[in-house]
Amino acid sequence: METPALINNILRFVPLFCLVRCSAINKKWRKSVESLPLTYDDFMEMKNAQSEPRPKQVNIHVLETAVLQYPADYHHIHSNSGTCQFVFSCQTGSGSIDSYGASNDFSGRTHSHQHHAHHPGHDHDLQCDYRSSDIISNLYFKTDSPSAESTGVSGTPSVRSLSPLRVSSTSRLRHKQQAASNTESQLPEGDSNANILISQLSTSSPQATDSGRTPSPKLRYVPCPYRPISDRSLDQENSPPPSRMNTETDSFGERSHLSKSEDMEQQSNRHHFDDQSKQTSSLTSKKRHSGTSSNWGMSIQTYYDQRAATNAMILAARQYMESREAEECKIVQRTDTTRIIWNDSTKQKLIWSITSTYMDNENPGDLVERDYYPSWWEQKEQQL
Amino acid sequence: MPVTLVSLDNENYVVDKEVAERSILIKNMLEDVGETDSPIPLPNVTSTVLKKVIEYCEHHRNDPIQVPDETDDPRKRSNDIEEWDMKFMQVDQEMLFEIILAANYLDIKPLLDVGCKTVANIIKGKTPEEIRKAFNIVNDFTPEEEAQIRKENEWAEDR
Repeated sequence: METPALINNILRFVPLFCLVRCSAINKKWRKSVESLPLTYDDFMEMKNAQSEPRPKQVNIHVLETAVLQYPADYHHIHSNSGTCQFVFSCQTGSGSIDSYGASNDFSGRTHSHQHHAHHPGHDHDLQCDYRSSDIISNLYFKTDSPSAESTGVSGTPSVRSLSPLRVSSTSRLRHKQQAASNTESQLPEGDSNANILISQLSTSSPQATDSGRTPSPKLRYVPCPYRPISDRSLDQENSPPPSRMNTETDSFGERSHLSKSEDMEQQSNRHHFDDQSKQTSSLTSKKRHSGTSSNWGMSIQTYYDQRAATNAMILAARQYMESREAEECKIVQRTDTTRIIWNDSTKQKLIWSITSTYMDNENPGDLVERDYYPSWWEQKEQQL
Repeated sequence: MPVTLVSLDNENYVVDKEVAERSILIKNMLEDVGETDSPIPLPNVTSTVLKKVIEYCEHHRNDPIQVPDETDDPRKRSNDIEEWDMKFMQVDQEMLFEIILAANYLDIKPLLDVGCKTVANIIKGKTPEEIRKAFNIVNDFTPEEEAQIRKENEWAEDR
């Protein structure tokens, strides 16, 4: 393998953009790469190849965040004023949604839950679309009914179907999650329809919990921790969210001074991010059915690949969590990949964790991942 | 006319001359010694590998001899592997390199190219560390050298 002649032979077939990496394998390879008779045109081709979208191998990371809201009076459940609800405008229409959940107890342990409500005979994993939520604009809900109309949500963009390959790789991750899941908190089938209102469970009003589809006058919106709530998404009949949420969650807004290239990168990132989100994000929700220890929460799973735009989402989440740490919050757990924070004043527990999954290089589905660079596509369009 | 090839481990393989002559090495040897019944020793090739090489040569016995095209860029052809060749190359990595080494030694350029294309396709998209791992290559750079290389290569890495 490592005779110079063989290395040279192999290098004859290695694409130009891979040569740089080959030069970093070891000294023999470096010497062989350096001895290649590359021209100026080759160099330019290598340079251009860097900006071309191309299949690449990725390591997928799953980000899971959760905000668990405990009652203000933790030991006493208010049947009225203590009612809190998440509102996820989930347009499942015909009633199929993947619903994940994360329940936490005060020991900091997180349990994942997964709920599938499938129509008989429908291959949910291969035929699905995502619908966006205007309330939490980052989130897309996996449904099997692209034509389903929303309830009380405007401006929902249409999104393209997933490629089967991509879905299969996503579902593999999900299956891993499912294997580790605790089924005690699975949602009942009926909750996958229409808007999901996950209410503060109360031992005194279990009925309200399960139906959960009529907006309460005491609705409280809890945003995805990376983006502000969109004003237009708020139901006028409902009370507005606490203003602090907007300021705390505008992670993308922090970069107000950008160079031209950063402008471009940011635009590219957002395109890519949107694309990624449509493909892979899923809302997770949970509720518990157990008396006074009940709480509610949301969690979000998203997938991102190394150095890609959605890393911004991870970073934003990290910054958000760190900003909360700077507040009067108690750090329950802190590792390189997890944060669990308890804010006693708001009775909120914030959790994020990142799980790395090394992709199977033998599986073509794991390789089909393309970056989106607007400038490159513009050039191509002009050429055409 | 049949030709007898002898592997490193003394296994004899009788093949047609036109099959044996897919190897430029053997072709030249036969031309040098003229018509002979003497077996041709191949001391660098084991029987397992020689069997595979003969299988390849049998399949491609009627292929035209490749004429090197100086203007052709092989980098653009790394994916154009025939289906049969692709299946033929679906072997474990040790065998893959044994075949490449044998093709190099026996001077069977099409087989060498297919082997190298297969390796190049494995390399594509991998990081240096992944390539080392895939092919069991020792990293002999010092940490300082590695840092320097990483710095030099920054321009070409993904954003």
